[in-house]
Amino acid sequence: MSSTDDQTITLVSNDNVSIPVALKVAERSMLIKNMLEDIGESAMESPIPIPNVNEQVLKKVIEWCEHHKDDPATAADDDSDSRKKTTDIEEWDQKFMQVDQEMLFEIILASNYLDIKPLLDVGCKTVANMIKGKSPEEIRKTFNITNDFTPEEEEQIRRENEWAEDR
Amino acid sequence: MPPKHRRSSVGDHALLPSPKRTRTKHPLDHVSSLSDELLIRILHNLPIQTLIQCQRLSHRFYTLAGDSQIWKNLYYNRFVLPRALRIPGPKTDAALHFSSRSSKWLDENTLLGKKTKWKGQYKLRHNWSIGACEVQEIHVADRPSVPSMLVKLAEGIVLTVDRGDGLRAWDLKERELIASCALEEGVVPTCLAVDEGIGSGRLGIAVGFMDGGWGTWRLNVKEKEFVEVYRHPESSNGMLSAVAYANPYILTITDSQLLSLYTFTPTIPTPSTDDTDGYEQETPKSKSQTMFGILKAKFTSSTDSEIAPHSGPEPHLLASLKSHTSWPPLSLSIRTTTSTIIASIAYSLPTYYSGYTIGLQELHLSTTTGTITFSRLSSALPQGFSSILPSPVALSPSSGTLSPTLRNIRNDIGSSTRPTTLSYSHPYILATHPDNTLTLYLCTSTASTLHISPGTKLWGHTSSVSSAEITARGKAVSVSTRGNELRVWELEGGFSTSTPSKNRRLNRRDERSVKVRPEGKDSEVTTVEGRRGLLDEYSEEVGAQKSWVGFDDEMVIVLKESEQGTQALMVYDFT
Repeated sequence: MSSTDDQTITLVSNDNVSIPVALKVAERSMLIKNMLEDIGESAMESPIPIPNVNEQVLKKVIEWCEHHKDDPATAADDDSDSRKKTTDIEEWDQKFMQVDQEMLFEIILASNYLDIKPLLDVGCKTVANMIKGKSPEEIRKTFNITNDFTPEEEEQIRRENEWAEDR
Repeated sequence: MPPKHRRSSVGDHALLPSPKRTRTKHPLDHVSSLSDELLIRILHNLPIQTLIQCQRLSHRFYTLAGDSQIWKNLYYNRFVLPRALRIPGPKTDAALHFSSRSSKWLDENTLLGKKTKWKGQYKLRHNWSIGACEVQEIHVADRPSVPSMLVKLAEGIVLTVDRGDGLRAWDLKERELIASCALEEGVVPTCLAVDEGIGSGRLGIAVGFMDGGWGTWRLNVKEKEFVEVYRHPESSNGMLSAVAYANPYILTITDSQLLSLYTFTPTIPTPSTDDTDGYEQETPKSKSQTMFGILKAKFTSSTDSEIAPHSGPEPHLLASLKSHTSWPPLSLSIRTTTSTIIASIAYSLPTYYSGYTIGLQELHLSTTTGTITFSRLSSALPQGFSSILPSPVALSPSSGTLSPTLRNIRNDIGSSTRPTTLSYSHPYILATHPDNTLTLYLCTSTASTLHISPGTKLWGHTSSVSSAEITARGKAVSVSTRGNELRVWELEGGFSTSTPSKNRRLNRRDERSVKVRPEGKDSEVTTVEGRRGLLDEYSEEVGAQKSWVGFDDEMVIVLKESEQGTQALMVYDFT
């Protein structure tokens, strides 16, 4: 093991909890990786505040990064549209994402903020899978979404999209 | 987190005026706390069927699930990527994954850059692919016209011309007559051509007449008016059977196969440099060939200078050619490249063994001097044809030499019946036959060669095919004389040079067409090939003759003549 693998840095959640993380794990976050590259080695000694993420969520995110620390680096994702159109999620990630909705969306927000694209994708796919195949009423119920359409408006949209229903 | 501004990339949400955003957010509605960007990221993972369910959730989801970026991605994956994979060339995985910046959009680049409503585009392509459309009729005449009414479609405008009502223009979106212009008493229009390249909001129109005369008009779409530009007097050469117009060039051909190319540019025609006599060239040694030999300048119009109804520029004759062995139907076209104007004549020609095949002659003119640089012809080999003579592929007026080239003899799948119509849109020639089939030919025209592939038979129609039109992209629409049978074809690609087993080839072709299914009609045929459905159609449409078809990106137009003699344009709207 080289010395960089042993190196740790300290992240501080917005509720002021310091969490030590191996550098390699923390660098799954492009935000942290780029920051460290910009500031240089000296920054590693001082704790890094993560203002948008609380302890519980940050620990969860770190858990994911720990498991995926040896994943091959994703090719520079030039474009957010280049994701493959599949909702296949590997088994470990599926288990990892078995959390309540509040946590699920916190993870999505945190991975977006910390710029961890693979985790963001897993989160988005998880939500997509919860939506897939459901009727509008079922989706609303699942996510507690308020229907602000009149029945006439909703019917109008249904008709407008009729062409796409049968394939 | 409050949502960002509402996206307005989806056009049809204008239907629903957005209410004052009284955010009645449920306390447990976590999904709505995500930004638009993140929600779109989630929606990107959904299949279309779920996406349209999401549009019904709420105003916000309506807009997000209709986001153009999502639909652009879907459009690319369904309609562009399969084509990109078909086209030979080096492929890397990365290049084929959708990326708005680096993906190849092939010739659909025209859609990019503009504020394209991608959901609408997707729907349009989807409807074409399954043949779903709405049908409306525009009544155009109470009585039959002889010869039949001529129709063309360009930029959402249908142009019709007949003896009784003259030249008329109809707006397809509004389904209404926008302009009309009477013809002189007694003149009978026999051919019609439209030039879309004369500027936005304007169409150039050329009409040829029974008496050999022709004229050009300009339609100013906004002003809703026809302006007569030039009128060419009658000619003793006889009825014009086809015309092509690409300003400033006009190509006409008479009933007796005399081809004339005119230009409105004021260049002085240089004497023809050919040292061979056109008439001699016209007597081909090989019976299987047809050629339009170049006539000497004796046809250079003496009549041109006599009468000029308008003070505008007068055309002069660039070339005149005559053939004894070409047969109608013919299709004339003019296409221009940076340095060359190519005037082409696609024609049917009889062969002695197996009925008819098609031929193509090209005249190449220099854009700078306006003179013919060379002329050449080619024909598709019919079934069972074995050449004992060298086939001329290039005929140069300056030398008059025939370049002997022996071609491979390949079996055609019997294009034996005489075509009823020809549609030529480079590189495709599509012929319709009375025996329920179409034949597709692929032309290869390079600086040095002109070649037509052997015909490929297209099956699918269950009655005589009366008209078809093909675009340069290989999309075609065909219509049967009787019955309610309209087919859309995707014919691009698949011209492998190897000889696959015929059955496989046919099957593949067959899948390329889809029968148009008009909505909201009792006679609607839901099964693509159902025989029972066909009988139903006959009972309803008996006596109605469909004699012409044309289409653009959104609509197909069919000219229908009912038993009572009334004429109508059937508008098949795919939007």
